[in-house]
Amino acid sequence: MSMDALKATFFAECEELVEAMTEGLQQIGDDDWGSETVNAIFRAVHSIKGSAGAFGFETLVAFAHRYETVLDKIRSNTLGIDADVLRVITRASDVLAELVELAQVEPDAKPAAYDPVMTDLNGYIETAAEPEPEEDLFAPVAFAALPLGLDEPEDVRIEFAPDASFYRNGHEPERIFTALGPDVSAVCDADTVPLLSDFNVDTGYLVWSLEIKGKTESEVAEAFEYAKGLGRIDYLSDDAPAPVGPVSEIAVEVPAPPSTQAKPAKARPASAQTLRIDPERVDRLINTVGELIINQAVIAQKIEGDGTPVDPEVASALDDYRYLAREIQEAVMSIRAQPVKSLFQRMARVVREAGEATGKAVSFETRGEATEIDKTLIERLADPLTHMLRNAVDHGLESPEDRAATDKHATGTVTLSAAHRSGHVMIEVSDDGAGLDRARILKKAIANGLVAEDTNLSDTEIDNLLFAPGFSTADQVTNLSGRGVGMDVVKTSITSIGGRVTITSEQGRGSTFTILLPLTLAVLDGIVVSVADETMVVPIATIIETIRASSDDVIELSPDNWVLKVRGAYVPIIDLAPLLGFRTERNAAGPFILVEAETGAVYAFAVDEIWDQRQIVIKSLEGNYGAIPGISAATILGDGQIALIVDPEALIALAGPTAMTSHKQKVGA
Amino acid sequence: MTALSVLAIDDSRTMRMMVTAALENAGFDVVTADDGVQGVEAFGQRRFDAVITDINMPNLDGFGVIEAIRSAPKNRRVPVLVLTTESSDEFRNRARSLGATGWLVKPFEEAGLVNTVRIVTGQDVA
Repeated sequence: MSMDALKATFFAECEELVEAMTEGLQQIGDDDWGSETVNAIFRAVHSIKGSAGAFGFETLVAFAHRYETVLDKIRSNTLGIDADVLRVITRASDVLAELVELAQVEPDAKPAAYDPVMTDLNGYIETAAEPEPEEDLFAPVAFAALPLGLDEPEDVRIEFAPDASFYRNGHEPERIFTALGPDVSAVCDADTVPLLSDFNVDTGYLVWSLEIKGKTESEVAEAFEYAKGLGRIDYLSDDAPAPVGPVSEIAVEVPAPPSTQAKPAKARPASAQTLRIDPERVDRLINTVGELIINQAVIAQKIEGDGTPVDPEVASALDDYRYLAREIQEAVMSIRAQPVKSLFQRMARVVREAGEATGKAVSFETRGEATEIDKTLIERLADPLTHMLRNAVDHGLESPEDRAATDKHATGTVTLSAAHRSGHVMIEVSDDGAGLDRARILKKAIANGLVAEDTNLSDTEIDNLLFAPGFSTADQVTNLSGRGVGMDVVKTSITSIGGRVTITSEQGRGSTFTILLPLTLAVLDGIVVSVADETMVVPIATIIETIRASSDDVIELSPDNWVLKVRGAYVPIIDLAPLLGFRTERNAAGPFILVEAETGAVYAFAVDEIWDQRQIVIKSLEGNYGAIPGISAATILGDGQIALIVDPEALIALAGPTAMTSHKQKVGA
Repeated sequence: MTALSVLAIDDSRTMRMMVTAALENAGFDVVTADDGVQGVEAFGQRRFDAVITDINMPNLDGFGVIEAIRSAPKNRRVPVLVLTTESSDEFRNRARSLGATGWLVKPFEEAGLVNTVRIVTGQDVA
């Protein structure tokens, strides 16, 4: 095991520990915590400290130690958590995380906040306990310690009378004697052993007289370190008479160590939980696996396709191949995807701190934390989201007084949500503040020369001025969001990862910023269906249920307006085959897939066959082929077939106003 | 020569790797467990010549591990070493009173760890 490999493990583990620490702090911030929360944070910091010491990261160890001491006080209820304490430990976690980062490049460097936070932490540690000797952190292993005494090697004589606890703790006298080296004579006084009738198996009776040649007293003491308190150890001075052997004395030769231990089973290697991989390798793997799946399908087709009987052994091997290929595909697909949970958790702090800095009471809500997106996307979303959330608190929410003046709750709400939206990941940042002040935005834009004075702009166009380079709505730059970085930077960073960002805002009700990200590598659950002769995939996220209806339940209201009766409600039918131009005749028999639109309206997609549900990799069409109305992307199915992934929202829009207006209408009820 | 087996219990992956590397280099077989509960379970499944346990762990801490191991009379002769950052007397006394054979302080030196394990298992000390 090389030191580099160990370090890599250490840093990967630190990443997880920092995450655990952050999660714990968030729970405390949300006031949703218990003693186990503090324990978990403590353990994370403690583990970082423990391992960091092994690599000599002294700055990191010293800081972790101080932080841990404060956490220990919280853990033992000698320090309560109030807003100040929470702020200090939150900042301490930041510093610790930075120190971990720094340790990878410059182990002795201290982040700017190191000293102030250290001072804050010290403020919670009683003076009596300070200063703690730093050497303690690097206390050497008992047996590795060098003899500290100035004593010269000589002959040491001791009397050692272990009591029962010595044996109970897994010690054996001969092991300690052996450790003292070859020049040891041990004489056991068996007179102390009582008659069998009085013998108590739980008592140590034997007393040993030892003479150790060529050792110092401290060396001997060191060997007996673990036996301290487990019996009597008397050092006999040279003046004392040498132990006189009584008649019943038993001389014991210190034996050679046993070498006939039973062969234990082979140890399993310590398992690593995370692995750092160059993303390009994963991409290559994903592509190759796609090819493998296709190749598997081609082989199966060649063997089974002509309908002649297949050798059972070949058929069985083919089945194995099919199974293994799918296993590989599933495993590979899951490599890059990660839930957005960790990102969202980090954002909780951003909102809390923004609330503190602006004096606004903010409640932060998250939705869709389990939504999986590409890890690289997660990393690159952190900055824009931070900025957007700060904006939401700083500019979006009104002051508590202004909120009180309306009928709003004094605490504003900022919501961060993630969801899969037909081949995209949609991330929304919304606030329940005053909404965009369009008059002011326009005025500002005119003042900044972004638009001409007599321009007539729609609301959407005005809203989008926020993204114009150099635009800043704050008349005075606040110490929070106004750091010279505008929404244009947010937009640029979202665009750079292939996404787009839009705004919707309602006067007095708040604003919502929507980030739509492509999901070229994301995994999507979908239902595979046939439409005419095409195989298509409907994303599961939008599906409510699938229905095989009787012909009585399909009702024609007009030639282009068919509805499906579902438990007393009438749902507009969207017949996919004619809609997508695959054929002209209607499919009135279904089966149907009920989908829910973003508006909450329900529609029934008529398809020709519903096959099964599976996880698929989304392959973008736009880059390779071009945008197709109603289709978001494509995928390669397990059998090598290309299937188009439908975009339910776009299909609903494509179906036109008939379907749009008649949703959930009760007919004749 | 047959290898002695050591059960190393630590919730830190880095520590498990370090202990494993150090002891395997010295010819021991090492089995690892990620927390106290897993450690006690692993201990119950086969014979070990020694146990090294961290103290501060989720689910069951090292003190609990020592207690669990020592609660069965047949296990009293198995050396149990504590490997932790704590070094106070109070702490050692508690570990000792529960039945710990010895203790090592993190960060440990490879030679010290190996030496100590050799001593408590009665293996020849190099």
